[in-house]
Amino acid sequence: MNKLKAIIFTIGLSSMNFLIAGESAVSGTNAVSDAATNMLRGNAKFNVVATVLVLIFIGIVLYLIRLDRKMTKLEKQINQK
Amino acid sequence: MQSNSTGYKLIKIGSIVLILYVLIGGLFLPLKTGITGVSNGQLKSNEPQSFSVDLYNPGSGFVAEKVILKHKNLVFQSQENQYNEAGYLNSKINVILGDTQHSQLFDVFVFGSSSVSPKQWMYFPDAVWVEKSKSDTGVSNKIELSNLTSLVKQDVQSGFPNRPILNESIRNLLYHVPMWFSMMFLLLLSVIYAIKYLMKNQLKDDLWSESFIKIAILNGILGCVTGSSWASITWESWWPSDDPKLNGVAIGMFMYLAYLILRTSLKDPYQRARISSVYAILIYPIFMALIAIMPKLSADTLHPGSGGTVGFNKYDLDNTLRLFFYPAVIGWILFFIWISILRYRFETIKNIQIEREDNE
Repeated sequence: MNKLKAIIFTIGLSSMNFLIAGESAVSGTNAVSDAATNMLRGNAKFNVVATVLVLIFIGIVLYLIRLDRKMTKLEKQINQK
Repeated sequence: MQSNSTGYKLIKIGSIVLILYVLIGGLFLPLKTGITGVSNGQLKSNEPQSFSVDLYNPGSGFVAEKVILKHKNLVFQSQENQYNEAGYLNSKINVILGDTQHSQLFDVFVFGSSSVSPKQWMYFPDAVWVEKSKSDTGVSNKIELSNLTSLVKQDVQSGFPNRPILNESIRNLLYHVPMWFSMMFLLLLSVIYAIKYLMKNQLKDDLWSESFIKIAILNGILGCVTGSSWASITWESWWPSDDPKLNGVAIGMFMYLAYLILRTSLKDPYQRARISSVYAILIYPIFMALIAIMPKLSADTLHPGSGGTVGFNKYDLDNTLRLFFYPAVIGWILFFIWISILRYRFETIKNIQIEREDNE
């Protein structure tokens, strides 16, 4: 469970970084944030479609991992008897 | 729901087939010809100037019949257009604003055709700035709008509509929007099961209601995250706070998070089921009002189809988007119902195990 929390924490932290970087992209001062928004804008804004699909996939997979762990716990309980 | 019933199999297979269809079609179907940008768009009036228009998917041998700068009734036509096979259309224009007009921001309109695209109008808003020169004092060389009305739009090119600002990201309609449709549908199901619980007092109905709400919250988070990344390039902000739909969704999500906290705070299963059922029934109309009715009443919103903004269906002239949008909505809804059923089945087994332990 601790491992899962660490994974979620890391992903959350990195996405926060991404969000903060994007926020200052409007003012156009941060070189890293410019790179991030330019990536999303690439291929006539197709890259944002790819990003959306990846985000949906990550969301579903994170949920499945959680369910998987709960199931393993239940299985252990049943097998102990 | 029995795990081997036909309805359950239909949900599983149907969702997979529909989502595969939407993924393949939605990603590989081409976008129609359109303008993605204008370079060298800073012009001076009363002298020959040139600017170039970036065309997207024009096909080989594109011929531009007319390139026009337009600001309300002020219309100017270019003298010469040269298409470069790299995708650029170079236009030469001499704008004379005349005595009465000032420096202005113009929309660019292109009328043309190629081997793949029929004759059609394309446009890009606020693309060219014309600075008034000091020598520009004579009579304006603007043309009459009525001269252009004879050019009728004949848009039958196949593919998704190519809108300015949106461009390829219009495909997100098939992935971002169904998340919200699915959330609303799952919440409706949860209300139905909550009513069923209050009528029959069976704990399994409450478990259904809870499963649907939990997956609906997952849907809401996915919708927020995907919408945020889409907004960052089209609306130039990760969370445009003046949009009523976004504010409504933020409040609505907190209401449903409160539902989860309410459940964990009550220990007696029957009391928990009764109180949370009543809460789920009460907040559904408020949630729908916040995300569906309030944005429609609002004067200006960024989301298409509400307030003063037109929906995508207006641009979808040959129904290509519709052909994928309805299957996308049905497919994603079935997919998340499937996950809800998995969750329900898991919770039932867990409850049986807890009962067994209590008996021993």
